[in-house]
Amino acid sequence: MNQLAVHKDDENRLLKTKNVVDDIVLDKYRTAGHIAETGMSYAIDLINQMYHLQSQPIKPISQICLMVDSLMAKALQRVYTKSENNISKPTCFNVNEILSNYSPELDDPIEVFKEGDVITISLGVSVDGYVADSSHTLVIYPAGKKPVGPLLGPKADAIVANHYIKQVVTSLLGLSLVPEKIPVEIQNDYGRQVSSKLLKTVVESIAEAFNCRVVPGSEIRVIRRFLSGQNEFLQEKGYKGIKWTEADQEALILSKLGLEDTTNTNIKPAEFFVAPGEVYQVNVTVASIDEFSELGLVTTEELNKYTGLNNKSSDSNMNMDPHIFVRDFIINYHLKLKSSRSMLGKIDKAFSVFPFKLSFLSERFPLQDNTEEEIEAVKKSFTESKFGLSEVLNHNLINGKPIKILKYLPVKSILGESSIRFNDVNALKLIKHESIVPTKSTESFSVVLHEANNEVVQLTGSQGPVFCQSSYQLQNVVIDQLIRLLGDKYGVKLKTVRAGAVVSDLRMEVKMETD
Amino acid sequence: MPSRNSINKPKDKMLRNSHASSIGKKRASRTRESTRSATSRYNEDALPRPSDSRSIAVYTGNVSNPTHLTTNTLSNKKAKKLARNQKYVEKRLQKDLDDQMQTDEPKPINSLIKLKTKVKGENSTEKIRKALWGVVNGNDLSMFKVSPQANGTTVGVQSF
Amino acid sequence: MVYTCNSCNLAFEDATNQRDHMKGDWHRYNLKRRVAQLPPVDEESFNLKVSATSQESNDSEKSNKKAERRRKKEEILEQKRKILETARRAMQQKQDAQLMSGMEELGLEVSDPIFIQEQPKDTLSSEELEEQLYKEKEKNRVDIPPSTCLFCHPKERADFATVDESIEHMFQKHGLYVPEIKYLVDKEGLIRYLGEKIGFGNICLCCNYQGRNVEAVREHMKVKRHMRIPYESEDEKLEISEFYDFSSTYNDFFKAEDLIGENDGDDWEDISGEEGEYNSDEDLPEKDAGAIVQNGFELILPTGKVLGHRSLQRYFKQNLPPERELSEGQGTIVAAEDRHMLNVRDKKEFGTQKLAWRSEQYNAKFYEKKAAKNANNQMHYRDQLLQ
Repeated sequence: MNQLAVHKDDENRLLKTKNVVDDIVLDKYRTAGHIAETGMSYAIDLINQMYHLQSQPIKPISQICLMVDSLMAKALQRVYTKSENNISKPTCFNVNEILSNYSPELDDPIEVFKEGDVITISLGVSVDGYVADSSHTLVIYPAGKKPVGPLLGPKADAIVANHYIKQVVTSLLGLSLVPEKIPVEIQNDYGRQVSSKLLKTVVESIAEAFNCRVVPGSEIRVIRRFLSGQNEFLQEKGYKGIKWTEADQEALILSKLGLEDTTNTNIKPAEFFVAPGEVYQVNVTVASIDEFSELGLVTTEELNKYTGLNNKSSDSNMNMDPHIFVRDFIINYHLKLKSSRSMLGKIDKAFSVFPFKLSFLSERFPLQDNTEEEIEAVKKSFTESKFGLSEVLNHNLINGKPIKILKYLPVKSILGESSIRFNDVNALKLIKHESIVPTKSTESFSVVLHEANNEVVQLTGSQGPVFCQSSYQLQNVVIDQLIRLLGDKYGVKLKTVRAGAVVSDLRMEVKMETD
Repeated sequence: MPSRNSINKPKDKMLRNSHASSIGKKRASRTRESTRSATSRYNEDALPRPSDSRSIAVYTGNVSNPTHLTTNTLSNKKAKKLARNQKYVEKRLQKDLDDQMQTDEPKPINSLIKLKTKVKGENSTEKIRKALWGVVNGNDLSMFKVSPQANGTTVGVQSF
Repeated sequence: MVYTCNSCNLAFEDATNQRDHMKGDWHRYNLKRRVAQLPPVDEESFNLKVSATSQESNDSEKSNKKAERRRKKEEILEQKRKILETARRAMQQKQDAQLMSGMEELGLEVSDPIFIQEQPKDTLSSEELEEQLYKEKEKNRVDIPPSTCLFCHPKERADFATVDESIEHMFQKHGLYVPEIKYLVDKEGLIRYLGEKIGFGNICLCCNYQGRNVEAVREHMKVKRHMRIPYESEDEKLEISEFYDFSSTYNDFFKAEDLIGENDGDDWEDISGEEGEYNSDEDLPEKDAGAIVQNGFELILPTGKVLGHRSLQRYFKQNLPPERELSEGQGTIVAAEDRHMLNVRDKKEFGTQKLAWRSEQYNAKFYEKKAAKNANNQMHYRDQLLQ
């Protein structure tokens, strides 16, 4: 087995030079953001029309996914035609307890949303490797012209908390451009710098104020060209970011008890300071623990065909197999079957390093005008691609991204298992006494800290929260101050990339405007 | 032996001795220490990097890391003996500790040190466990829950 | 004192004669016979044998037709031999008489007439001989005009107005086929040349039969159906090539070569390009003008294509996968990758490595042990040699 290697000069160019945010790079980021935003607004619009306004017949989730992907893919064909443009995250509709990667295919059992479902739409686009990912959380209200009333309860708590987290994180990241405006209260030992610890504490304290927990897997990270965490199997050189785990929740509980866990050697995150000129991707999920009466931790679980059957929250018969795949380039193997070889070649060429769905392999993708005939043709192509898929998957040349769901794990059951150390993140997953967390909210967005103009360019995430009311309130003065800094004329300068107009079904206008 | 300055000094012998001792030392050091790189990966004081591997195995009390496979099997008899002796050792240590608590007589230092470290090691995890059990049994969740505010927070706009 | 030759049963008067005899073919032949324990032959029968074998060889050469030049040379040699023979005979008779008288004087009985042979000296140089022959031939020369049939007897009066008619006649009557008539530019020259061959050289067109005169040759050709122009081997083609002009075909050939790409006989295989067809059986024009042969196994054509020798075919005919090309994205991912794959260890190699380590360790220990053993540990030891 020969390992691939890249020349030192190339490495330098690809990892450093190409990541300096100049006008062209910024424009590529903004184009990506624009397309992702348009895709997001199109998806929201479709759901509103189908479920709320009922001006369109309800279509299965799989078809909506394909429509949004087609829209974005077609827009990508028209910008920067000479570079590698890809969908960096196929459209996912993560319903209720599902945390990520739920993007059904056309041949899966038909799934539709129900009233009261909390849906997280997440998608992403890369223009020449510059990625803009986006996630937004919606709620299916009773049908009508407008919401009858605000959403209440734990779902609302999570959404409100996430709304504030989004603003505060943007503000804090932006403050790295104008360090003189950092409030005195949070200056203490870091001086005038925004540290990872500060970001983490602020996010956790907001979540706590709304009786929520930051879900393991949430991330605030620097993204680089082609490196936006699209492949979990990759161990990135020079990774910079915060990633939440179960250990953080545990530390939170212990700190309440006035104890400090000294035995925890597993996770000691490297600290860093936010620097101007970097591009950040924020992907924070919070889950309300209001409905659980006992102390516990929020964890995630990966579903597969077997565990998935046990985990059916409703009487739905959804397909639990991974729908999204990503190529692992470090693995090199000469495939035996001709069909799998040709499939791998196609994948390497068409999707390169970004995740894809099987429907993207079809000849008819992107859909031109969303007719029945086209959808049938895409369906037909599955048999062919699934034939080659198994060998490619078996040799780990591509990896499936498993569907993850949220679970609540009571502390009692952890303590009951005498063999497990309390802070052992991976061992926690072996415990079975857990219940599903039905309420969560995910928001993800990307910001460019543009040094030359001293402004924060928010690429995605311009959508406001859904109408909801939480019974909790933010009571931290500093956080209030931070939120105010964002809107303030004399605070952090913020520019937001706006969604474009969707001209007709599956066609969009690529025309950028920011404000 | 004549002095180093004498005409008749046994140069060859001296050199050979020093050489033999030096390579002997080297070999001894080699066999004593297993090859360990000084990089941070093995340095326990260093911060773990995100690329470091994390343990997946479940922690089941005492960990023995076998460095080699052995073909010697422990006979039943021997195993029984070992288990019995273990019991006696524990009892004796406990007795020593009790004795020490009662009478402040100085004890052999070796056994004391062992005892102390053991207690200290258990302390932190035990303390945490105890505290957590207390919370779980008492159902005193007030400190973990935020009380709702009268006003609450409303976000979003009333439209689709 | 008589000088004798025991192997040929001869006697000579003086030493020079004897020596000359010893150098001759006849003597050599008898010597060989003597070794084989056979009785010697006299000169007459030897000469007969010689002439018979030469005739035989002539007949056998019929099949492999030789060039005109070579045939002529043969004729000259033949003639030369005849002349020499006559000269020798004349001298012999003279000597014979002398010997007989000498023998009678010695009182020896002569049962068989013994011929004393003397190696005839080359009194004529080859050029002179040739001239002589030529003159002889010139005398016998029969001129055959090109418009006359080459094979018909003059009595038949097969004279025509033009060369074409004559060729037509020869084709119909005698089956003479003129090869590649399309490229024949000098018809008259060709016929004239053939006529000269028959009338002057008295040689058959087809085989190297040489008649005594024109009639004999014509008879031979008619009987053997040798009335054709041989056009198979290279020599035969070259013989009449001066009457032809093939330059119009060269262009076509070069075009064809361009299309085919390359071929250099069947010994060469294409390395760089796709495999071309081979048309090695046809002659190619000289192509080593631009081609370079490298280390005996590679031929670089002026077009830049490289041909490899077929002995190395198994190396050229490998199905190697194409080198992997990474796009920018893939390159970035590979560059940023921090996972380390375990290198698959070659078990055999590792085994030998382990053995080497073990032996090294053993040697080190052994050396130290030995050093310790041989060390002199006496505290007050005084080396006697150093006193």
